[in-house]
Amino acid sequence: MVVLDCSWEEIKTLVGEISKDELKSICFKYGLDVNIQDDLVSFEVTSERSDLYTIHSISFLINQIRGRSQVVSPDFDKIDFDVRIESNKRNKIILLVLELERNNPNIVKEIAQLTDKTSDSLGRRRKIAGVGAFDFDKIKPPLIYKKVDDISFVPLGFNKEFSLKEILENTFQGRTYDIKEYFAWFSDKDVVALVPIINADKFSVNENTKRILFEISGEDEYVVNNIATSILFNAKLLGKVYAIKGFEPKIIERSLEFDYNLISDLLGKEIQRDIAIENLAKLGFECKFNGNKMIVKVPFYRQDVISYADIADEILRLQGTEYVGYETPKTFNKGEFIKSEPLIEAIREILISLGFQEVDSSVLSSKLYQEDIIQEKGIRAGEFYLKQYIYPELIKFYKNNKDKEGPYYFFDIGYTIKKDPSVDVKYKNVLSLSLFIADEKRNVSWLVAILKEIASRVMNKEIKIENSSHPSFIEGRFAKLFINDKYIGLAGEIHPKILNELSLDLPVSVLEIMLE
Amino acid sequence: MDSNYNLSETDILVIKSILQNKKVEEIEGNKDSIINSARKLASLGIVEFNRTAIPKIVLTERGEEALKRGLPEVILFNFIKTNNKRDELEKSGLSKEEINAAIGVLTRGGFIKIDKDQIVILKDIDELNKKFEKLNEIKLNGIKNEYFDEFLKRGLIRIEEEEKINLTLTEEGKKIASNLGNLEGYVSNLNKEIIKNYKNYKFRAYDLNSTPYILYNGRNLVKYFIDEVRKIMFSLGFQEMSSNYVEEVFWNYDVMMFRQNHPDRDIQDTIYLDEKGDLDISLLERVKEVYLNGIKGLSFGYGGKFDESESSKLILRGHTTATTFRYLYYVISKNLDKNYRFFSVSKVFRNEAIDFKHLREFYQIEGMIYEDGLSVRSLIGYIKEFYKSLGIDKIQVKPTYNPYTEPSFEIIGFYDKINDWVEIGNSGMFRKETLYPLGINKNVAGFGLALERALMLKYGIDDIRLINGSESDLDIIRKYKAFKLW
Repeated sequence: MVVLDCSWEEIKTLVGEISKDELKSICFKYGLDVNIQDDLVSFEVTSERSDLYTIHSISFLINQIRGRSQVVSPDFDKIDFDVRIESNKRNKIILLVLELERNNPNIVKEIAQLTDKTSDSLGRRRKIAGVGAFDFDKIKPPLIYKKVDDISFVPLGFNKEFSLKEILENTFQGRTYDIKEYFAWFSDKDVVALVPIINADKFSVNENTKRILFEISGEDEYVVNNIATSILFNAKLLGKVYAIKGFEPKIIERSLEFDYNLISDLLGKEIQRDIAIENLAKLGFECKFNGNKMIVKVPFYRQDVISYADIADEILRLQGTEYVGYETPKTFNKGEFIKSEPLIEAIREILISLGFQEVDSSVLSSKLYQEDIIQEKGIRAGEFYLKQYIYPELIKFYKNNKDKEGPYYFFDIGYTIKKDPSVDVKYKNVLSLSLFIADEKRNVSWLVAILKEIASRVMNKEIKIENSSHPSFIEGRFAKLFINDKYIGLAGEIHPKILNELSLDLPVSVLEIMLE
Repeated sequence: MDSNYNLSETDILVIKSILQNKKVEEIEGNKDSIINSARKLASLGIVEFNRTAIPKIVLTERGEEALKRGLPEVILFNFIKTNNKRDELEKSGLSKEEINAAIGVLTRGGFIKIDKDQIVILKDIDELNKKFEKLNEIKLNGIKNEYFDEFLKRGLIRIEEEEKINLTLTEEGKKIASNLGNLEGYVSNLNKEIIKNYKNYKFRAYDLNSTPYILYNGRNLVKYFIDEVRKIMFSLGFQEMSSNYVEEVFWNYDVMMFRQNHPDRDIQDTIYLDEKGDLDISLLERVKEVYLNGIKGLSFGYGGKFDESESSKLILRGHTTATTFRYLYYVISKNLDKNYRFFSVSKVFRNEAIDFKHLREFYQIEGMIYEDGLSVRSLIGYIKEFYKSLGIDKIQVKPTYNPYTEPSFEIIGFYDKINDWVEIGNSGMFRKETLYPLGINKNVAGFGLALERALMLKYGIDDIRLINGSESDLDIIRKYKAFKLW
């Protein structure tokens, strides 16, 4: 999501007479998020619309929706300029020149938004491609791109010269990029930019700039071209655009041809052809019919439009979703829960009637709970350890709430994550039940008695209990549980050393079984 | 002992404790029962019950949070040191409201200035660190200092009246106390011997109005709510899907045509495991083909590059749509002639900063429909039915963007409680690019919503962390043990 701010006056200048309610209503219908607070207008642009990275292009869209369409062609003239690539690590470079048509007090902000948003989103924070903007009239040929070991220049926003080392240490941008080799643009002997880190102050765009050079470069030709397409469209709304010979963008224009019935099948309502043509024309799409085939020429800057569904979406956005109405489901289907549902319900009922509180324990946990206490190798995911057993989470829940009034009888029926090499993702969710009590009067024997009751009454099984030992439990008060000789879980009283570590002062007993 | 007084064990304990000059809070036992007993004794003229309220400054939850995490302005300042882009401040983990307030404090104090899209640091924040210490001082001492007014205005502190109860024996009480020794012959618990010789014993009275037993059993609010939603889905003819929290990048992103090296994938901050899963290579190849070259007569595809080296990486799923796509492939594509409705209410995971309305793990409600003649029109019908069952009659759908559906709609519902429209879900028609590699030609629709968001709205819960997982607040869970949801 990209956010663009501007003043209400700016919108009125670019869009013409419009009320705030009208703007909100247009944006709501089209699905463009806008927030207007007093004089400040903020637009939230979704990630597919890389054409909408300036207030000019957003205003252009609003004007289109209001029926004040203009056509922006992908054409550009080429100009000669002496550009020398003396090193070519970043292998795709496009150079565009924008000649501004009029003085625009907001031009510096618009250009900064355009270069930053395209570099950050499409260029992945300049990791695969980036854009720089410079005052073209200050650049003296030849413009040279080469590898540098050390340079010295005044970076943008500073008033003294920095060496390469100082830039890397003392500027935000320098600290951000982890690069092994450094490349720079030079105008004659002056540094224009250390790519993609920081531009030189001398060549920066200001209110008096007449011609702007956009330098778009990166390792991925496809991404560089996408960014150049967005820059070309947005720049065309600000003036005349040229490309430097040998560094032109490859503009892709698409024409979609599909069966028009697909649109009504998708929307559930027939859209008359003239309505479709009118709506699409407003947005700059050229369309015609050949029998039942619809042929749509997509504006070059709409890189997001790749299929008939995108065309249906555009028609609907202009027409309004209420146009298709709705119909209630006609067919009959039988609902179905997962197969363990009756078991879960029966167990829950027994436990609540015995005075237990249901808990919904977390999956993301820590080493202490899901490795140290369980005494098994933890399953790591980033900084987290995943829930292999529920009982440590119930201990954590009790620890977080020990200042609350008792009794502390808790249970959770939920999914644990267990290693299983037979599934494609190597781990599977296993439905498990865990019981927890922190009580001076009752102990693990009570929990085992409850389990036996559940096993015989609900599961029609007999539980086999095998005394065992576990470092986190009191010796002689820990058992492994089996059904038909298959291990299903454990029961025991937590060792005081764990209780002391966690600052717990009531005896704690737990029981846990896998239900599947 | 005056036979007119039917004193319970707790009453006797209270009288004895007053004789021993114990304060109320020093009397052992259930506090509620003790207070109830003291009130009863006061009404009988046995004790004098004096209550005084002493004003005390305490930290609010926000204040406690600020002490735990740091003041919002300090968090924001430290964040700005590493990222000074104005439209990325939400990555600091602060809410919009906190960011606005923090910017106000930092700007007014001359620590920062806003320069176009960037925030420029003007001076360091030693003064703010002092403010932090002063907040801690209030927590420790509960007394005013120079930041009292600011903290109060910002909701970091509040004034509470601490209640002190003082009990003294009346003249009548002193008489009764002097006779307490006579109670020695009274018994509480019966046994075989006492029952046999009951004539030799007097039984101590119990005050059944102040029982020491409290039952705190019940369902968990979140799980109860999940079951209500599941029942609604069941009643609408949906079958429940089962799934795994651990998923592959392929099923979470690739199969849904989330564009590679594109902001689309920033929608979810993924949590990775250090392992890889097994891929269905032929399916991966089909997805890759459509991604790069599209579908003849239907789509151009996305072009560029398709890097499959990431596809088998294991992650915690960022959305349950990963499960939906597994069902599309493993169930529906093998039974293309049948109609299906599937649903799940299950956990998803994002590596995001936690705050009062954002969690790292939360529940997603998901519905998917595969049937003849399905369209946007019928999808909106399903959405209306679903939300009507949840008690939300007024809904609007607004066009939006979603990488794997087109058209896509944000669902906005009107909540009477707050008298406003709020975003409650998302929906759309699955793109053909996502269905074609699975061998599915019919239209498929999906919708989903975040369960906790609906819960917050329903119960007016301001801080979602209070009912989240192992960190939940036991008192809040108990508060909601008996309720009617919709």
